[in-house]
Amino acid sequence: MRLHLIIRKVHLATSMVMLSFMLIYVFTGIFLINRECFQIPEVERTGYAIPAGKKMDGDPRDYARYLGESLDLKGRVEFRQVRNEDWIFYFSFPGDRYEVRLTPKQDTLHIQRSRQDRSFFTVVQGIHVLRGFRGGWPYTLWAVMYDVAFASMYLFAVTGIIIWFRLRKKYRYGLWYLAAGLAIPGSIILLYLLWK
Amino acid sequence: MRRRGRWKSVLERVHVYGGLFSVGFLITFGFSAFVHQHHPGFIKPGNRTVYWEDSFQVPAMTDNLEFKHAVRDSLGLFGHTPWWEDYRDSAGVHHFMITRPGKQYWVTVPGRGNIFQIKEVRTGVLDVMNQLHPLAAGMQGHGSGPFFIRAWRFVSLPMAVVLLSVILVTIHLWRRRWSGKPGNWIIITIALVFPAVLLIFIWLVG
Repeated sequence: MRLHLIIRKVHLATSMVMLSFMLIYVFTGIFLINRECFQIPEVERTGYAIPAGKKMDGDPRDYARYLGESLDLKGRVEFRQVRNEDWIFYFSFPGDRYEVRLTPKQDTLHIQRSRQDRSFFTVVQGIHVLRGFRGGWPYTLWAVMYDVAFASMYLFAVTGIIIWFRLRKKYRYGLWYLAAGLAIPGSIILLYLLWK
Repeated sequence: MRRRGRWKSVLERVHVYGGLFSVGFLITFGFSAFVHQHHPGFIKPGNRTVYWEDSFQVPAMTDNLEFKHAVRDSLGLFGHTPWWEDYRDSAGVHHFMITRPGKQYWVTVPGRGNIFQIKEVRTGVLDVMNQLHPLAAGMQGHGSGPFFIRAWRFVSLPMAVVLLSVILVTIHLWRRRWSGKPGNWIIITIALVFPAVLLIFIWLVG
């Protein structure tokens, strides 16, 4: 009896966690599905090179901070090294993305700016595809919440089935609905696997 | 009073049956949400490979993309032809890929004759399950694909709406038990508002 109560509470708690995420992702997803209805602004790219004022020694995070301050760049910060040669730092802000490439000799910074006019569609798309832990605390927090929401989807489903199973005499068609809900994506997966 | 009882019964049925109907949707979209964030290794294409060949004539074309699409259609396949999976080997033989959820095809274009050799790589059930998420928007530029591409696009949105309704009904059904417990309303308000506030913060401050 006590376990059943816990299951019901978990079911409720997961539904609360999911509610906001489902509203956000279903709402934005509807517009992405119908992208042909929108005029998507072109991405404009401009590039230039400047001397690197400082060499990177040690932590690339410190260098990213230096670049952000000296070039007045803000937004999500990510970086990677290409085949032990160039270091690339990305500064992404909605509608604006800077790619700063530090050459192996560390004497030049190649900067490329990709700019896209902000429209309703680009905002919606940016919200829908936002994920990943890197880029600062707001992004990490969002990624953690995203993972909690993903785990909630499974817990909500499992606890829901358990609760229904206890009440299966009252809701006797439940198995058919469960089978239908599984069969729709299942059959689509099967068709993709078996089709020539 | 009786009407209220009937309404409650309807809501409970929507909640239970709708919830059970949404389990498949939750599994597929929950899985792809996990994969999109963590990029786990087990989702990578498998190595089940099949070789086959087909013989047909393709008219000479100057545009490479048009040529690849003509080959794809003649082979009776559907899918994208990514520009970066296209090369000529040391003997000058042209190879290119046709890819779609579940399968990748490497096509070897005959230098002479008209026998096209196909290396078919089956990428497995997890790959398809992962790609059902973006496939809710259909497949652009895939050629004249089969009916189930459009069918999934047609059913995935109503399934999402059913799930949303189920969640709202869950909270509505519990609302009656919360009378006199304002703490519960504070929790749900935070759960609802906080993600939206964080998104706005990211959007405005970066």
